[in-house]
Amino acid sequence: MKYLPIINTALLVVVLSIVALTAFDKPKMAYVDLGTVFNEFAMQQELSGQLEQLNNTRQVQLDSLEVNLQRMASLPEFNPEAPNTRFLQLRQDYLQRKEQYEQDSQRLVQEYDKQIWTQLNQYLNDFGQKANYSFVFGANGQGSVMFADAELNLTKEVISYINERYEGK
Amino acid sequence: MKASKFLVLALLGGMLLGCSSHTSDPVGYCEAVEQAGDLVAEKAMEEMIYQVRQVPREYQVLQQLGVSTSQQAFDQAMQESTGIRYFEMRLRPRMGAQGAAQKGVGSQAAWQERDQYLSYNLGQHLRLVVGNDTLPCSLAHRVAAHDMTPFTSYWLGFEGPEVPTGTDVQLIYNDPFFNHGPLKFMLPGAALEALPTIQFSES
Repeated sequence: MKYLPIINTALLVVVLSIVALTAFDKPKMAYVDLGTVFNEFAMQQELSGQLEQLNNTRQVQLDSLEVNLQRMASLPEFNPEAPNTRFLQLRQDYLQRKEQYEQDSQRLVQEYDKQIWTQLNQYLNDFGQKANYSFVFGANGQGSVMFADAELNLTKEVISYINERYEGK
Repeated sequence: MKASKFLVLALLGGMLLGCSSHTSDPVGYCEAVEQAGDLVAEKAMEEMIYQVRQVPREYQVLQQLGVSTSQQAFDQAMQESTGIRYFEMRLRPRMGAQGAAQKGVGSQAAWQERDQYLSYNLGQHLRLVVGNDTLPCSLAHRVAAHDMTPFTSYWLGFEGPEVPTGTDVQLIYNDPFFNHGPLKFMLPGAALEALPTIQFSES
């Protein structure tokens, strides 16, 4: 009977240890809104800006060629049934450039996307490791995460972290 | 009572010494630079690790003239190199013993193309942002290692206007071979300020 308090204390310690271990063993999880993270990523904004600037410059060149073609076509001596060689050359140049710019723009979009995702994935990976997360899910509104408690939403923290890392801090 | 006065004086003296800028001879200065972790910025991206180290002009001059140089020669060399900022950059694959030139290369022609780039054209893709200025790389010297080291090392130099000491700078490498996009490294000016001042011996 005199050992009862000792046994009780030992039992309590064991129960508390199990509770504590179970709590600590729980995988740490969170999620981010991938669309927001991608759009707010400084690298994405920087490269999108560069691409837009390039596309605008090219569009100005194409517009200029188009105006030239329209001006030639509006001349009284212009015969639409048998356009002159100069007009045909200009039109071919215009069409070639247009196609080349479109292809190049598509290639750049793909290349930039790959670069952006490479850096984004790396920084997210670093973030997860640094903060001891077992999982960081990417919610993209397409069913990969159907429901999550808003408290587990790390979008803001992740955006801040990846932008700092991108700037080299 | 005497003991407590002594303690207070010793404490004040210690604080004063702690606040004053520390000095070092050229050898000690070079050791301090080589051991200063704050001068280094590193970025791991997929299979590659990129490391950039700020190299103080004083250190670069001491490397050229030797640590036994005179104050006069040192001052003259410092004067001649005014406006130049030096860095060391290392490219190292995360795994394996292969260097940056060989990593993931499938053919002799691809190796040659990359080796050519690493030797002669890498500097074209480097920029240094200092204040409102973006400076092109004016020196990119690949340190010859003959593939004996798992990293490729460079001495870099950027020439531009003088900025106040303690100004942070950002080095940007837009790597075309490993296709990681612009890689930015923030290098704190405070790390340079924390280095000792060089004290030459009187003799």
